Amino acid sequence: MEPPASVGAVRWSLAGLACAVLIAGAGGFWFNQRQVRLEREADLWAQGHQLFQGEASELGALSGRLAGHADDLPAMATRCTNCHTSGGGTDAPSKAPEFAPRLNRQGLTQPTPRRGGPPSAYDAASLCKLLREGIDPAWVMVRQEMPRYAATDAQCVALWAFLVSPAPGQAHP
Amino acid sequence: MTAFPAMTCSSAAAPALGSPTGPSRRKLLASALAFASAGLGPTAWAHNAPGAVDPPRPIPRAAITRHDDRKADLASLLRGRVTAMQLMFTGCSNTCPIQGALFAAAEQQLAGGATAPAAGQLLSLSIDPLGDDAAALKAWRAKFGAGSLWSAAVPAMQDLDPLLDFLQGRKAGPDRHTAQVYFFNRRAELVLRTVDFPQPAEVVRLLQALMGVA
Repeated sequence: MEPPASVGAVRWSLAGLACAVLIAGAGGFWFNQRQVRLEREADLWAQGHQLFQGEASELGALSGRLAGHADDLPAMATRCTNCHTSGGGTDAPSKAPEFAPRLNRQGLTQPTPRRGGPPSAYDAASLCKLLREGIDPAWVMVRQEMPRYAATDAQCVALWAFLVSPAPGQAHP
Repeated sequence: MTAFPAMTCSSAAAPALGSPTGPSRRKLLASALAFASAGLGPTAWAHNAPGAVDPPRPIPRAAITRHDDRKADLASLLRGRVTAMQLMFTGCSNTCPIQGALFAAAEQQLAGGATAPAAGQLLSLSIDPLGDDAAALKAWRAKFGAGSLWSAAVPAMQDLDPLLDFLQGRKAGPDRHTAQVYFFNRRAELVLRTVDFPQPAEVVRLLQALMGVA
């Protein structure tokens, strides 16, 4: 015996409702995951920005010393921003002479001749090597006045995220 | 200082560097040369001329303003004490904070030494007479917690070029000056140029050697 038409309609409605709930749940889950990811990226960017500025961050201070020296320098003498500018991928080059390379996504990730070496590009690991050892991706040593930093893995990741990512809420230039 | 290959230093007409005489003076000169040449390539030698200055050269006349706004002749500030001098300017954010930090550490070590720290002094000499004055120098010193053994001064505009020529202190780039330390004996004579960014302990060791207390 077949169920009455009204029962079939109810079943269909329930199935539809279940699908809608599933889709909404999946969408909510996706949205929630995306929000979590964006918040994590924003936190990472902010931590990298603080390290770049020589400010205290959740990841601790970025300590550094000159190559061959016995003692660390104070943060005011080793902050990246003393010598480097960041961002500005589409900016016109500054007319003022810059002491050290401008650090941004384009300059770091595009193969570029640096310090007389062959073209090379950075990734997070090679940036970390340069920070710790003063050796760039083409195995050329950086200048003496660039401190060697006792950077942790987390500090390297945060600095890399800050240098190659747009500020939270902004698109890549 | 770590061990370096044996270096010789002519003893003929060896100039006075300070109190040490005879073998100790030769030892000091050899030591200074070895220190100053550590890690140097030929290019650095050519531009910065690190090493002992033989014979010692009297500093040219230069009117200066100190961080406490006192006016003086630079030689009178140097005379009577052994001096380690660096070039800087307060608007420099690149190398000068590092230089300041190194002098701050050197002053701490010098002050903590057992013997007559007041016989030696540290001097930061600005290369920016247009931008720096006593107030700017005072604020710059304060950032590093400078004490009584470390002063700062800026020369008069017309005296800057002769001083830079004398020190061989020019360098290309935005910071415009070397990060060497220049040592003067008690007669205000230049006796030694180091390489860029010498370690604070080396600055103190050389000061003490020139003071005759090492």
